[in-house]
Amino acid sequence: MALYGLLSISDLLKPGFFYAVAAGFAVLIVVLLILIYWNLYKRKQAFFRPESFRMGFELWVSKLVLEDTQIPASRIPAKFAKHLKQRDKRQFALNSLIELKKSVAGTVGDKVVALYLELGFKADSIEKLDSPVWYKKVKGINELSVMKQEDMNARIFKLTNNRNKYIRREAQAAMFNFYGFRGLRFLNVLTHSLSDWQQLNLIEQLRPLDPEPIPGLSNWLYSDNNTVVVFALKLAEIYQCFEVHDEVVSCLTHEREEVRGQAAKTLKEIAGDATAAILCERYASETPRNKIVILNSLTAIAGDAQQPFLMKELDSGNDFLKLGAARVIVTCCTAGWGLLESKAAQQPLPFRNIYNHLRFELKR
Amino acid sequence: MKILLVEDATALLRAIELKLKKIGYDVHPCSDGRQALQELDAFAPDLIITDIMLPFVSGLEVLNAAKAKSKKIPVIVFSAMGQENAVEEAFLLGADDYVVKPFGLKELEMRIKRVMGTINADANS
Repeated sequence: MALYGLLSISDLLKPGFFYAVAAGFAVLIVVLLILIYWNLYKRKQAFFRPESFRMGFELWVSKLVLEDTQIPASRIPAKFAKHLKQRDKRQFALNSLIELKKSVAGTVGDKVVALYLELGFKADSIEKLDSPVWYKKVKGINELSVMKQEDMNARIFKLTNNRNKYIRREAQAAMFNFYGFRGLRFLNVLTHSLSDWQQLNLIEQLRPLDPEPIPGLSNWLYSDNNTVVVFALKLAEIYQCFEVHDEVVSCLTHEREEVRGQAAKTLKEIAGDATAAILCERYASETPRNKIVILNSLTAIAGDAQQPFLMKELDSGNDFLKLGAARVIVTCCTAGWGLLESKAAQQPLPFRNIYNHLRFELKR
Repeated sequence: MKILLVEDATALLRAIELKLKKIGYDVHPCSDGRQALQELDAFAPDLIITDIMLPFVSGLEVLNAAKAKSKKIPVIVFSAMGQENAVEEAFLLGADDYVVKPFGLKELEMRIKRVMGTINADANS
């Protein structure tokens, strides 16, 4: 307003005023460009500074863990000690050690753990474990687990039944990482569900371990938690735990369809003399899905004694079940192909198709 | 002997590089598959050690490119647990050996020697 008061309309229209405004804008643009350049320069510096720290740190760690001597705290160079006081660089360094520990075993792996302790990172992991924020807690559990800090087992064990599924999952994996099969003791107290994904994860973690008796397996088969029962049945199937045959048979009368189905599947791997007959007995009261599971199991364990039952099933209304029963007959019964052929002669549809299908399928 | 080492976990890359250099190998480290493909021609390695899971270009593609260049270049792949399918594919593509993480650096050294057929040579010398 002041400017407007000082300048008249004719002054505003003079060329000198336009030059002044243009010069002002030019200066403004130059200032803006300088600011942008300065900002980019700072960002670049901020990007490369931790990068150089990381490279230096990783090189130092690599040299240290490949040496034959122990790692004394006094050997931590001052430049790293200074950097490691900063939270982001500290986490950076910790992540590098975690990454390395996940990939290397043996003495080098042990030295990475020693370095983790020497640099005081365990306190950082515990701080995360104590955090009320779920993802920090998960990170803390993961770090302690990777670094095999088994003395933290009691605290981590309490989290295996946490209401947050991510915390629960990480804690369960940690217990397993610490103790292998014995770490599965969290199944004794688990009230939350064990998701299919987590079951797969745990089974995958088990794979490299040498099979050994699984303490608590028979108790888990009577758990109130259906997902624990299913998981225990899967373990019994994979590790062929014949000692729990009777408990698995009792799961055939479980109220949940998936438990009964898994029990029928498990029995295929731990079958005794009477198992096929037991499955045939349960068959009539099962859902179509579980009937197919039972027939699949019978393919491996049935014999001539089951032939009357199977011949009867060829007359069931469901073509999938007919195919399943026919498959068991031709694989397990003496002269099974002859029986199916005469059935196909009596009733070409669908038995001729089933016969041809099985000929093709079993030839492969 | 020239080894092209491809691993995106830089801490591990550095540790293996140092270990192999200490043994006396000429090691060229790459932290991604794209860089590894460029180095195949430039570095002309006698052996390639590559992780399967890599940024930009996978280890299987690096393996494929190496075998396309010369079937004689031996390749060792790193795999994590549960990557059986990828390992199977790697063998189909011509991988000579594989190492499952976590592994010991001594184990890697022995595998390199076995693949390069130098264990017996060392024993005889």
